[in-house]
Amino acid sequence: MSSAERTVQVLDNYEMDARLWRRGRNALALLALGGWAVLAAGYSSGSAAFYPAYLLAFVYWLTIALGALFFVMLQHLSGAAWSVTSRRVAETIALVIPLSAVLFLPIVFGLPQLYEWARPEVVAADPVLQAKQSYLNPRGFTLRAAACFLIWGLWAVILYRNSVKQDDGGTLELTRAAAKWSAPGMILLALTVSLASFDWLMSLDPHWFSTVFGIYIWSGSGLAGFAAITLVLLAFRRMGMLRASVNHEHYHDLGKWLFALTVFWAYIAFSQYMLIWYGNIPEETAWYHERTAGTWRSVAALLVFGRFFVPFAVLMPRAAKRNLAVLAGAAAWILLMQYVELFWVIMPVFRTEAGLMWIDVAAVAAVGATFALAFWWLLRRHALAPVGDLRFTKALEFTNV
Amino acid sequence: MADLAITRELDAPLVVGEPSYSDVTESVSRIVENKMPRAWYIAFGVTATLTGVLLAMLAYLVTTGIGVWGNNQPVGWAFEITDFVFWIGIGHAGTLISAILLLLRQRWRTSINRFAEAMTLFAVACAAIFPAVHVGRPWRAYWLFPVPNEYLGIWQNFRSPLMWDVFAVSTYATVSALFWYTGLIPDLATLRNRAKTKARRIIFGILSLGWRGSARHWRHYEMAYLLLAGLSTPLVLSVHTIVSFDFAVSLIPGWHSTIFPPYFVAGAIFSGFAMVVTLMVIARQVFHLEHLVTMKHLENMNKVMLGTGLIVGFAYLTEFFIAWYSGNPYERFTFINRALGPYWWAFWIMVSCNVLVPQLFWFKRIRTSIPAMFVISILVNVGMWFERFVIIVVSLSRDFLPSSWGHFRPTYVDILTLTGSFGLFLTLFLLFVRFLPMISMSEVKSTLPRPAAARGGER
Amino acid sequence: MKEPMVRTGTAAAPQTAEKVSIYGVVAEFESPEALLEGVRAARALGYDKMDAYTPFPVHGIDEAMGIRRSRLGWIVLGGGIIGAVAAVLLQWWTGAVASPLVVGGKPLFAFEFGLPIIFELAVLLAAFAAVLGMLALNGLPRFYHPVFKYSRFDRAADDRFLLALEANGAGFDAEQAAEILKSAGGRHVEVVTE
Repeated sequence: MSSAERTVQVLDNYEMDARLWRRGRNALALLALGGWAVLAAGYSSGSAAFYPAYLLAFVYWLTIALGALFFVMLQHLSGAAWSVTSRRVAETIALVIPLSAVLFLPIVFGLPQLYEWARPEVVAADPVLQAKQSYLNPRGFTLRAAACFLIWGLWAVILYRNSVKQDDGGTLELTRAAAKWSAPGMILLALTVSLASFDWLMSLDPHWFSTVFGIYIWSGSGLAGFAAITLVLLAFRRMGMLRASVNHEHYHDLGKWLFALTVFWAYIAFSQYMLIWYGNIPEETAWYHERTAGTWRSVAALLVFGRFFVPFAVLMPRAAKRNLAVLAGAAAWILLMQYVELFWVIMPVFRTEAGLMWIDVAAVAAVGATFALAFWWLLRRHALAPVGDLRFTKALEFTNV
Repeated sequence: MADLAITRELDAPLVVGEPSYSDVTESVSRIVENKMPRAWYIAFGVTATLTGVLLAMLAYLVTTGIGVWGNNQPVGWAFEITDFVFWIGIGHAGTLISAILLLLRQRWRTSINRFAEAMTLFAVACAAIFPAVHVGRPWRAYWLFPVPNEYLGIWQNFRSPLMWDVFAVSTYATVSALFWYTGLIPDLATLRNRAKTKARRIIFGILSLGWRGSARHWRHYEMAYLLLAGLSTPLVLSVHTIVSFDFAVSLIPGWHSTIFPPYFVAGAIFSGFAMVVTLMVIARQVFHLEHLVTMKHLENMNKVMLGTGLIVGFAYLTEFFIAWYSGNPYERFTFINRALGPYWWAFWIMVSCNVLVPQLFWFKRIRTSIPAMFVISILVNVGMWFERFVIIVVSLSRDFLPSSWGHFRPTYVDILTLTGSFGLFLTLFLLFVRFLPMISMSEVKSTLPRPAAARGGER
Repeated sequence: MKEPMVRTGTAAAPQTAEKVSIYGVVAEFESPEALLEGVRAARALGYDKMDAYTPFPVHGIDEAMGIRRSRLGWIVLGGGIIGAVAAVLLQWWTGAVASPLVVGGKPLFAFEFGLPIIFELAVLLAAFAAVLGMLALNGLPRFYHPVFKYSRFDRAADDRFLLALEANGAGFDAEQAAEILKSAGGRHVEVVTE
């Protein structure tokens, strides 16, 4: 079937305005430069806060990109139509992952500053760490991280390329190929995100272990990814892009997903906490003990209310999910809470008191602006929505019950 | 139009042969209006006998005591809890299909949801028997509920996960029944309108509550159905989660694991779908429903099995890895003992049936082969029963102190009670297909491709 | 509600001692689309009291008939909150007040162990609120309704889509109503009495 036969109803201009693009690029580049400059100053001043701040910023932005990759695979696997018009944004966010591998390098260099198990003198005095040494060692850590980035990057690129191929005319083969790639992709994503969570975050407290930890991090990552997609789409709407293609019906569905994933996150987080609270074994409760001591207790309380109750209550009514201002607020709040949560997971290892330092802000700005710049740059190469997708028209016609 | 052809290829119609609305009414209603085929009577004879076996075993147990089972010290929970968890898990597919797939707008659910919901109810009924008789004095089983009893000074211990279980299972049974009945109302009205005898007209008239299909009613009805789906979705997750808490809040190695909640839920959905496939493959053939429950439905269920089977495999892997990673010698031993200890065979049955066999579903030819899926779905349930056996019995038989290790060996009562519970489940099921529409007519009609469905002319 | 009445067969103005109390005029349509046409045609001519009887929910009919969205959600939310509060009170009162007994070194009441039952009871009462609320809003069970007298009512739960223009609407005129339904493609147009 030739593409000429197809009658795609073009509602929006699927190309970004060149002036708008340049303005965005300049703003992001400026922010990135500023962030990196401050970060470099922090690094050269020998601040001990540098590596933790960097790890946090990197993991924060990466979890968002991984959430977007999860979104893309999920839509392909379920053959969903509603999400087609939003998918290109998600695909492009995920496409930042291969580039982000470069930004992981500082963490590799800072292993001894970040992880106890990477300090030979600590390991020498600790029989538990010696028992884990065949796993928790710098070489293994680096190789596993490389494998993770390879898998994520490969799938992000494959799914993106498959999707843009459809822009000149979708075929059944391409649609099926996307689903076919997503099936093993989802398995690998589950395994690698779990692995990365164990390695990068759980091993910050190398004595502590929790089997659900990978799923816990993943649930937050998925939630943050969906929130980022929603927020980017709403920002585009404000800039006059995709106004007809992604309408209230689609936002309503995104809102439902934010609500559902908020509940799922709460379910996993509560299960992990309750089982450890109930079991009351010192080697397990230590993790929560550290994170509810002093001012960290307020952060924990903020998470319970801010990460669960606030979005739960705000997103429950149907009207809220269809009110774009409320939805934008909720999505931004969720993204903020993702940062607070990772802050609470990472920082108590390094700081006895909760509190934002200037280097934390600089790291988030530097890594975030770099990610965003890459996103912005990639965005311009193809249409803003997968216009050739066979389900595109169906997505435009979609309405909620 | 080329576009239309592609769309059909992409999202194939859910029913075959373009049935009309009245075809749907006819093919579903006639099953409960006509005499059952001979196979039904034969099957009913067999399952009723098995139910008799169950009743006999329960009578023997209640009059004699828990000692007729193989339970011992340290294996205080054995077959009965394994069977309980197994049956509760079977029920989960029903709620998943009716609620979660509704919310996800997976319209292929419409042909199978009623069937699966009925399965939920009967599975929960079977499950509830086991803890009830395991309390030792089942005539005092109402002590499980916070109702005034002989010992007014003492209340139930809500810190115990077993109390959570009582609330979870009874809420689950009640809400599933409400959901199921709500879904039945329009179809009961159809049966009332078709009734040829006065008795049927009165019975279905009462059961359908005077439903008349008013547009004003449908509005509230659809909202109620959607809200029930929204409530059932976290409910179904909570039920198996709470069942998993029974184990995970304790300190027994192999039980105390934070991944248990999502892992149990995935396993429950996995085994439930397997059971739906096993029964649906038979029912659609016997009652000639191949045009409503199509290969697409079965294939989708097989895909769900593949997916949930992989999640279960992922959980096994994580547990093994963390057992090693923990550096805790008891954790490490428990998992070595599972794979290589005296119950190694149970472990390997579990792994092969739950993780290896379902991988065959990667092949479309196997996914769409009736005999293959029938065999695989049965194997999955064998595997899932053994999973619970491995978790419960193997962990209990060898925990911290080697001096208090033990070995569990089932008695004939254990085995016959389990066998008999299948009899009860299937008997209830056969009665259901005999008396109630096993496919939701109103829902299937709403998914039929138009306008072909409206034909049928004067009658 | 209406006084007993006799049919005169004339469709005169309702207030002129008309003893006939009719429920409305009912017609049958073959498809949801045809039904929607009928609804729109009747609305266009000023008929706003009407009801449709269909074998499955017809999408778009709410807007066409001008029915508001169901408010059931609020009832269900209320049920859920009552359930959750009841569960907190139950666990707190029995555990910490009525029979305070330390078990397993756990507090007498804590949300950590209270949450599962709080959740279950919230869902239980919300589900009851959903079903009973739906029935109450619909006025069910109701075993008699005039539309049951329509000769082809049985098909409304099978494969036909009925539209009733109800007599209690402003400016109802049976003959005009019948005419509207006929011209919109409705068949088997009948006047149905209360």
